[in-house]
Formats: sequence, C-alpha cells, structure tokens
Amino acid sequence: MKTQTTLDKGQPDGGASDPIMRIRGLGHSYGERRVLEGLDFEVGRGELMCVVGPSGVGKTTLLECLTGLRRPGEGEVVFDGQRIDAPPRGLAIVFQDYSRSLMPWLSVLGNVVLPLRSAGLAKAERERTALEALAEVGLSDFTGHYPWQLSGGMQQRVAIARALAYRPAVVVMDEPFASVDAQTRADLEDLLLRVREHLGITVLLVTHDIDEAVYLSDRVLALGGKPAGIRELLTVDLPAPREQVSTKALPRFAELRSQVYRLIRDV
Amino acid sequence: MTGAKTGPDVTGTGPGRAGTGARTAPAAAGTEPGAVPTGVRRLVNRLLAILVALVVWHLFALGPGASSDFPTPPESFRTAVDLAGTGAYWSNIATSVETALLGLGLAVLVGVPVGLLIGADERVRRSTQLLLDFGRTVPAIALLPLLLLLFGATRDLGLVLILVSAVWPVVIQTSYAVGEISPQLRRVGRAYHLTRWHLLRHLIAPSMFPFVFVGLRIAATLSLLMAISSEFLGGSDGLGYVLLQAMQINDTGRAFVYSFTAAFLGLLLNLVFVLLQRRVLWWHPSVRKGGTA
Ligand SMILES: Nc1ncnc2c1ncn2[C@@H]1O[C@H](COP(=O)(O)OP(=O)(O)OP(=O)(O)O)[C@@H](O)[C@H]1O
Ligand SMILES: [Mg+2]
Repeated sequence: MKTQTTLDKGQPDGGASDPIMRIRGLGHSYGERRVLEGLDFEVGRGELMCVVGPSGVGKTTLLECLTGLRRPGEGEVVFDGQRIDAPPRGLAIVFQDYSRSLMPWLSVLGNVVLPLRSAGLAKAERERTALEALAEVGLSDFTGHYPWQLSGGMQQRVAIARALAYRPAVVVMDEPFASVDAQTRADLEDLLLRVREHLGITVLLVTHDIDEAVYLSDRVLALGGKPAGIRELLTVDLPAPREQVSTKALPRFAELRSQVYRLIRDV
Repeated sequence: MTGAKTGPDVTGTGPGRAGTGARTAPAAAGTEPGAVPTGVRRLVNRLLAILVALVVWHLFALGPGASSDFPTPPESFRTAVDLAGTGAYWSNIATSVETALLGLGLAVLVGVPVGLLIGADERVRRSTQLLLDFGRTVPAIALLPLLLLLFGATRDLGLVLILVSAVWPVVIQTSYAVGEISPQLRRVGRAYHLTRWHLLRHLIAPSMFPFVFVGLRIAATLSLLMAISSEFLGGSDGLGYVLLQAMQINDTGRAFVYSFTAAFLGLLLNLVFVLLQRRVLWWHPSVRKGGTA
C-alpha cells in the first residue's frame, strides 16, 4: 500500500480520503491555562503520522485527547465512525512514561500477555502472539525477566511489544524511541515501518526528532503557538520503501527536514 | 536497645536495612582481607554478642540480683526445659498466639474495608486524618477498665483490645495505599481494556500491597502485645496470665522463662513477616535490591 499517494494532499482541512480518525474543533485547557485550540485533521487508514512540536506545546495532551484517555474541553474525536470518550478497542498506546507503564510484578511476557488475557484470547494463542511481538523488538531472550531488570530502552521495547501484540488498528506512541541508542532507534524505526506494512496498522507518533519524523511519516503534523494549533500538516513525498541511508541522503529529505525545522522553530 | 536491633539481624539483612548490611561489610573487610565468608563471620559475631549478654546476666544474678532471687542463665535454662516438658506451657502459648491471630484477623476484616472507603475519596481521607491520628495515639490499654466491666476476664476482652489497637495501622495504611495506585498504571489498564478482575488482581492489589503490608506488620506486633497484656492485666488464660501468676508467687525463674517466651514469639513473628515480604513483594524496590544483586 502506498498510502502517501492515496492521501489527498490538497485538502485544506487536513483531510484524508479514508480516515480512521477524524478530529473536529479540538481544544483543551488545564484550568485557566489554554493548551490546545481549534485542531481539525484526519488520520488516514494505514497512515503514519508524526506529531512534532517544542517541549510543553501540548503533544501529550493531544494524544491523550485523541485516544479517549482525556476528555477534551472542546471538539470531538471520531474513531472508525464512532465518537469516543474512552479509549476505543482497536487502539494501542505506548506511553511517554514507559518505566511507569509496565507492571513491576509481572514478567516481560506477563506484561505483554495481560491485555490479551483480558481480551479473552486462548492461552496458546496469546502466548504465541506475545512471543512474536517480543521477538520483533528483539527481546526473545528476556521474556522471563522483570521490567526493573532491564535498561530503559529495553523497557520501552516491552511497551512497544505490548502495543503490537494487541493487534490494534491504530497505534499511538508518545516519544517511543527517546531513550534508546542510535542503532536501536534506527532498528525500531524500521521495525515500525515493517510492521505497519505487514499489518496495515495506522501509526500516530510523537517525536522530538525531526529526522525521525520526516523519515517515518506520510504526513508530519507540526504543532505550535500558545494555545497550540496546527502549524502545518506537511505531506512527506519521499518514495517508499524508506531506507535509513538512502532515504536520508535524498535532497528532498533535506528540504523537508529544514522545512519542519523552520516550522517548529518559528513559534 | 539490643533487643530491637537483633530482630532484623537474626533474620538476615531485612528490607530497608541496607544501612546495617553496608555497615557490617566494610568492618568485616577491614579486619581480615576476605578469608572467611561474611555470613560465617556475622554468625560468629552474633553468637559472641549473645555470649557476652549471658555472661553479664550471670554476673548480675550472682551479684546485685542475688538478694531478689534473680535466676542465673543455667537455672533459667533448666526451668525452661522443665516447663517445655509440660503440656500447660505449650497450650498457654497456643492460647496467646490464637488470640493474637484472631484479633489480627478481626483488625484486618474491619480495617481493610474501612481503609478502602476512606482512601477512595481524597476529601474523606483528609477529613478523617485527625480522627485516625487520634485513634492511633490513644493507648488501647487505657480502655482496659471499661472493657473489663463489659467483657470480664475472657478472651473477648483480648480480642476487643487487639481490635481497637491494631485496626488503626491497617486502616491508615490501606487508605494511604489507595492513593498510591499509580495513575499511569490506571491509564494502562484503561487503554488496554483490562477486565475488572485483572485490574484488581494485577494492578490494584499489587500496587496497594506494599503499603497494606506495612500496616499488617505493625498490626501483628500490636496483636501479640495486646493479647499477652490483656491476659496479664485482665486475667484470662494464656502466656500473660501464667506470667502474672508466677510473679504473684515470686517464682522469678518461671516469670523469666515466660517473659523470654513472649519476646521469642515477637522475634518469630518478625521473622515470619520478613520471609513473607520476600515472598510476596519480591518485585518491590525495598526487597529486590538485596534479593537480585
Ligand atoms: N495534567 C496536567 N495538568 C495541568 N497542566 C498540564 C497537565 N499536563 C500537561 N500540562 C501542561 O500543559 C502543557 C502541555 O503539556 P504536554 O505534556 O501535552 O506537552 P508535550 O508537548 O507533550 O511536552 P513534552 O515534549 O515535554 O512531552 C504544558 O505546559 C504542561 O505544563
Ligand atoms: Mg509529552
């Protein structure tokens, strides 16, 4: 699926031709403090969208509203045709605060399996699914470990495996690769692209890293302003499949990169 | 003070006792460059300490204590062996322990639900704070005359006394524990649609347990203390009562053995809780640092 070609780049309201998520007039305040205002956009089915913006701009707040974890002050979020006010099934979240989103009393496998148990999968099937997901993030040898016996980056991979094993239609990730080394980060980026291709899942990912955003995305959503709104929804017209060295060597990559850089800096 | 210190030492380096462990290690390394394993040396040190205590006791009994029939260690040991041969000794222990456990059970049965109710709401927790602190600090023994009137010298007296003293730590720790369930984990539970049972079993209960456990531990110690005190003061059967009897007829030998038995029960209780903590809270930072290094 070449998702980027199916997207209608021309639509002024940030539309996608076959949206799985539709966000209308989204705004949010914490008490008196206005954080988000007037966000309108759509996420296409199978699309990979990165959200970028300076620290504290409201990226996590946006994700929380999108996933139904936080009820937005204004506007609505429609997921697969349904307006949501709680996390919908078919959506998995990788939290920014990974170390606190794993249960220390459950093993790595236990953490990944638990949501599948709740979903009622048979034992053999859920274990197979979980082990597959753990293999994909390179943690096959650590399934019996406990989260606190692992490094930060490994814990984050457990959280990613938990999300993937859940077999969601949409994965929402809040800075999922922030605490891993460069090589692991590149591996995980490519894993994400691969998994997206295989499973046809939609990915919404927050990142600080502009290279990462351009490399991964079909579209980049740049947040900015106070209160924050959509600075720009930029279509990344780089050819698929992406490849760490050759894609990043393209002149177009450099152009997009400086474009996003300027968007974020000129707040 | 030595009694309080031997508790955790007897049971190995208890959780949260990193200081004790850290202090022994360099001391041991300083005397001899690592010829004898630390464990053995620690054991030797402990036996030495006990030996010193016994010698001091013996000298005291022969000297200043002689006028008041203070028993020497060998005499006490003989009395202990004699008593241990009687069924009454063991049944008195059983009675006291049973009272303590029953009372602890009551305190838990009442304390945990009350703690949950209080903890569930921040406002309720804040408004009951003063009441809880008051309840905790009022010495339950002060209620003894009143309770004696109500219940007489029965086991019920002991149970009520235990309840009114041991319920507080359980209530306080449980209400506190509710607030300690990580909001982040709650979000995980919501996002991944954990079932109610899985939420309770794999998220809420394990989050709360470390705090509730502290309450249980304090409550257990209080239960034993109150069981024996109520027998001693109220006069119902048990270790406390035979201690009272021995003292009334000036049988210091027996009184000594009964006191030691009570102290030993306390140590045993502590040991049980340390082992229990390692078993059920192995994942907790306070335990795992020592356990998995
Ligand atoms: N629960 C909350 N209550 C009050 N204010 C909050 C809350 N969460 C976030 N904020 C504020 O809202 C603003 C946006 O926060 P948010 O966490 O969404 O930013 P972010 O873009 O994710 O930042 P970062 O890149 O550092 O993760 C910040 O100024 C923050 O202080
Ligand atoms: Mg954030």
